[in-house]
Amino acid sequence: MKEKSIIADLQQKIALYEDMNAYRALYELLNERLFWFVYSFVKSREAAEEIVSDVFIKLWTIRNELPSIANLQVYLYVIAKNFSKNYIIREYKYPHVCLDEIPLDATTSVNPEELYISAEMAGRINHAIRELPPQCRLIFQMAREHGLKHQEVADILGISRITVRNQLTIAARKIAQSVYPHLQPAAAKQQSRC
Amino acid sequence: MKEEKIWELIILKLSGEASPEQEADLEEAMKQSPDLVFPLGILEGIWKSKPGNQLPGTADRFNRHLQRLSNHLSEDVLQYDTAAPASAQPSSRKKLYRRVLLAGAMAACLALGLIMVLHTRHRQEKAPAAAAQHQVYTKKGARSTLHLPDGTEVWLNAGSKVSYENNFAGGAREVTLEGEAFFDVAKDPDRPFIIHTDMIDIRVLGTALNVRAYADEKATETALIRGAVEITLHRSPEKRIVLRPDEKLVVRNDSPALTKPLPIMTLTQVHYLEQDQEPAPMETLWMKNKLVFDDEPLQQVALKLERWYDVKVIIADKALEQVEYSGVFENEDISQVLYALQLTGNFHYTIRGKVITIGQ
Repeated sequence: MKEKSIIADLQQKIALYEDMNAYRALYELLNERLFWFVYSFVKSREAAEEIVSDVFIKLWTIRNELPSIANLQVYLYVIAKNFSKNYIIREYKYPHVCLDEIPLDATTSVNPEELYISAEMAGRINHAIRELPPQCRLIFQMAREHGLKHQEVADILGISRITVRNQLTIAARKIAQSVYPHLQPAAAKQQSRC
Repeated sequence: MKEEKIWELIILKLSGEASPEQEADLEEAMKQSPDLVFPLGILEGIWKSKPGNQLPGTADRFNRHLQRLSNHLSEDVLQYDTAAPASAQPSSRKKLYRRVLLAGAMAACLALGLIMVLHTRHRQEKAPAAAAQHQVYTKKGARSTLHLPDGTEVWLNAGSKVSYENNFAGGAREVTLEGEAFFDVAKDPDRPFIIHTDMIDIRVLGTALNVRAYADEKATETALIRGAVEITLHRSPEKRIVLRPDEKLVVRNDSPALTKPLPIMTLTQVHYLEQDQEPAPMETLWMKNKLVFDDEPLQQVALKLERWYDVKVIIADKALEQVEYSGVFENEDISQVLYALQLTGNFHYTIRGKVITIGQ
């Protein structure tokens, strides 16, 4: 909630005063998230950086229209997704955005020291996160690291809010299972939905 | 409750989207399945822990981004100079300095082994206090330091003027600068220190910075050594630029109508000169009695020489004006400096009293 108001404040400063500091602050706040989001699609660090840069160029060129944008963060994600799609079409000559094989370094890992758990257990958790189906993992990261609401994730990815919730539920269950193997394995139908 | 439902509730709770009823349901479910307490705790920890995947070098990335932005915009507002500071960009630049320094040394030797005379110039003149205004200025060829009533120290370069209200009676500490000065501003959070120049205002909170605002030069430069400053441009007061340490803002002095493709301001890095001792910012070497040219066109070099040595420099050939020079000179007289510059650039000069003429 606090971050939302920070973003809204920066949005206003950019729109009204062309405030370069606000622009820089917004970049610093969001560029990493957008980078990893884009990287999941384009799978190239150079391309991801360029696309994120393009997103912020776009932001600057439409600064006069910013006051009419209700949720700037979601708006930027959607632009980032579209730019990623354009890049893939341009680069691979076929219009198909594929989330398969999200690069492993786009996946966050868990730090054992931060959670007061053993390295072995952290390893199992990280393995479980990496083993999540790509879209499931992306949604998990967007909701957890980027602090996006379920509806926001749904709007960005163009899926329903229920799907987001289901995917997160599956992720939660699989991760919990990795630290606590006595849990029943997830039902087959859930897995196929992921 | 079905186990699947519990995972959904925990996700809603972690995402901050659970209703009070759902939170209560979750509490209840946990009581009934104590087995789940541990994995749910872990999950909560994972959710709240910082992501381990962080991208280094946000500042560099932002610089690269601004470079692309300015390339993209037709109305170039701000340009970022991404060139690394001298220390990180070794060969060519260093070589150039070495060459010029060598040339300087040669010139010094050739000057018939003249004994190096330390030219300490302390011609400081105080104008009579006009009303409640203090004015301190230096003539050409002179440099000076002064202490302001609030404890701020000011080094004033040649041909410069600082004026301020008596005892900073108002709420803010305001000074007006014409020329070049280094400010080591005394901390006082309640009374911001504001430096006014022709082109910009600089708002300071306990900082060391060099400001160069000579009316006859092409640009106004602000180099921040430590602390933080906020700069407003008179030409477009809605823009505020905050500098971080080691950043330098260069604002063009000519009118915007003339700035066709050129940005009105450039943000760049403070250049450090690697000496035997610790590296020192080029922008402040004048305080240590060193005359510095940092890739500066002859036109600018001439202005600096005029102020440093209190002479008149005439560039007879316009083609020479834009040739750039770098070099650091200490305790050398004007003929030694000119001799050294002449070695690296193709020009001839004549000295007649206080008038120097440079031609091809």
